[in-house]
Amino acid sequence: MDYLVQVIGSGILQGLVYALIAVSLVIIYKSSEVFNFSIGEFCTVGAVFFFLLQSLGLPLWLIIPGFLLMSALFAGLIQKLVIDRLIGRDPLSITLVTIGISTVLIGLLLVFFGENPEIIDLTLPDVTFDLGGALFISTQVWNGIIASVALIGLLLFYKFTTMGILMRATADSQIKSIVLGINARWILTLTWAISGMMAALGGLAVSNGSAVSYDMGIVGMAAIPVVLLGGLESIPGAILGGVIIGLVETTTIFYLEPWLDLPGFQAITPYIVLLIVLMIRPQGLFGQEMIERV
Amino acid sequence: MKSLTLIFSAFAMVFAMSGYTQFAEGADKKPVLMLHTCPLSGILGSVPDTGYGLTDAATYINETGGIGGRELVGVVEDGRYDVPTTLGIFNRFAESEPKDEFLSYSQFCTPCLKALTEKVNEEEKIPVLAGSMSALIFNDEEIKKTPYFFATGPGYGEQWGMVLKYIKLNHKKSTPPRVAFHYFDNSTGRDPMGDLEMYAKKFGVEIVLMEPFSPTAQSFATSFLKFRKEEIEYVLFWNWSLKIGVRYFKEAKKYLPKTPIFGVHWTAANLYFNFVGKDYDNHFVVSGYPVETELDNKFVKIITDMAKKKDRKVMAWAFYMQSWVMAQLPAEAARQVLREGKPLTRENLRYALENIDTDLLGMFGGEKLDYRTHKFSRARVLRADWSKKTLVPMTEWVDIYDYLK
Repeated sequence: MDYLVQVIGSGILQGLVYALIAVSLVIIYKSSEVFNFSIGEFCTVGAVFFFLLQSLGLPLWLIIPGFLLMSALFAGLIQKLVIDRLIGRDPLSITLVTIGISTVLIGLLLVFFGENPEIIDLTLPDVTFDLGGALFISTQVWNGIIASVALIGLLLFYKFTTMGILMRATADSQIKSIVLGINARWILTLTWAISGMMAALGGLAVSNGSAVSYDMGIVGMAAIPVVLLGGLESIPGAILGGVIIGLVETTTIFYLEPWLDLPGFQAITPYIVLLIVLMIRPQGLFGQEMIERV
Repeated sequence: MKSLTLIFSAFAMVFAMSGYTQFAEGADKKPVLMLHTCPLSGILGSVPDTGYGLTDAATYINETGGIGGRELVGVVEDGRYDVPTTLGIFNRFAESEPKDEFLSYSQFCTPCLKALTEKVNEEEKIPVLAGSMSALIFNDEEIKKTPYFFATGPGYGEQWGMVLKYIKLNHKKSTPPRVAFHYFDNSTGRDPMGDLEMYAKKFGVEIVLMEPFSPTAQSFATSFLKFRKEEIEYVLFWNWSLKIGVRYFKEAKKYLPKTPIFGVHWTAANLYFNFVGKDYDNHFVVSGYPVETELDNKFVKIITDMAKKKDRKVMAWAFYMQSWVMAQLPAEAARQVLREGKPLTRENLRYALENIDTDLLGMFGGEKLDYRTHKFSRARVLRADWSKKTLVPMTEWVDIYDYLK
């Protein structure tokens, strides 16, 4: 029983971190149909900002808003400098540009941050749960809490705030929102900024109690099966997708791998699950079915 | 007339001889070229000590007379731990440099070494001092097929064997020690598995899990939880990436605070103290190299003085030492060739390496290196001690083959 608690608990906690990164992809895709392939580097940049503030010896209550603000500004700046100039082009070409952004960011991180890893320690009260057969260490629990708070906060922001409603309107139809007097360009910049903050939190969760390095952007790849599974346009879908992928991974590691005697199989199973789901629901669990009239 | 002819002949002879002598001296003064590729950029490019060592060793060797008066030129190139890049560099030098000058090559990349097998052993026939100590290359059978490969350390198989023997000797319970082998998931990661299983059987150690981790792993939590479930008593951590190592030690102490983690040469690095602090404490390693704090060791004294003189910020002394040895070993072999009155050729250098008579500047506490197996025969078990911020010896220098009997 303890073991099952471990499998489910670890899966959910890991899945929430995936969801955090996946959501940052989804909110950009929703607003502009652009798939941001540089999301992993956004995570890294966020974690680097955290490290920089941490190394200045600032207290946590200053570091958290500080690194989120820096990440938002950074993502907003990328949008203004690069993406904004491409508005009106095919979303696919903008998606390809994000691959270029990723490469440039890796290079810049290597030059300015350096090639060595740096430790990130979010000093928070110890909330380790040691249930004998099941262990949830403090950093893992805190990562889950941070991810949950951020995801709930984002959902509430979209649902109840004026800015959130404006963002949803722009995501539904940029042209209609412009006709209604909404500054769509500003809304898009803001969307990128919020995506940057979510990615930064994802980067922090990944490197918390561990280390950040310039090439950490590979974590962005973990979000791809999550968003495809949940549906590219759905925030709840990304959250559910994250949790499902997290559970699939831990179940594979703890049950399937020993049973099949296939160590490392966990790297493949999210994609197997994804294939099965996409065969049944090509738009993902919560994605919108596209109907084209001819 | 006869006397004039004689005088002219004598002059001509003297002239010709002086010309010959000049030529011969010129030939003797040709530099000895050692090519060295190491990862200065790319996935493992965060420790420049893999290059500094060879450069500084070349300085030391030249300051102590060079190689029979010939200057040693150590050329360091960035191989990026990448096969095409490394092969490209080696081929460029092989094609452009004279064979009687380009006498040895050293490098740090196992896949590159495997890719160079034919080129080195059948075409170029040049001694290669390898950072890799691959169990699949450096074993009794394979080494006959690759006679120009020399490892700069004990074989990975023997290092892991020594770890298992040490565990067995110090295991307090009556049941066999329960061990997990946690390895970097690529061909080098799987390299010592055969030997590991063989030694585990021999020493009565139970390998409960062979668990891979991805080269891009950001977390090892699920593996650690698996180890807890299986009641693993010792973890064998097989890794050579600094980034992986840092993340690993940080997490391991949280999930497995009481489980000793063992490693070999590549995690025997003082730099982990700088990166993970006390989370590196109590990490056990097998190493064929001394520790930088052992200043009573002549080799350590020489290299630390040189590093100081050159103002090197050495991050990982073990890798600096290894890089140094990649020049020191062939240089001593070359001196041996000249002492024996033989011409300095690649083949004679290979033979001298195989039969080298040296204590490597006293590196093994005064014991001589037996290099007939093309790998180091001496090693120690060390333990990371956070209170002293260094690795402390847990055993004397031992002959590995005796230890593994």
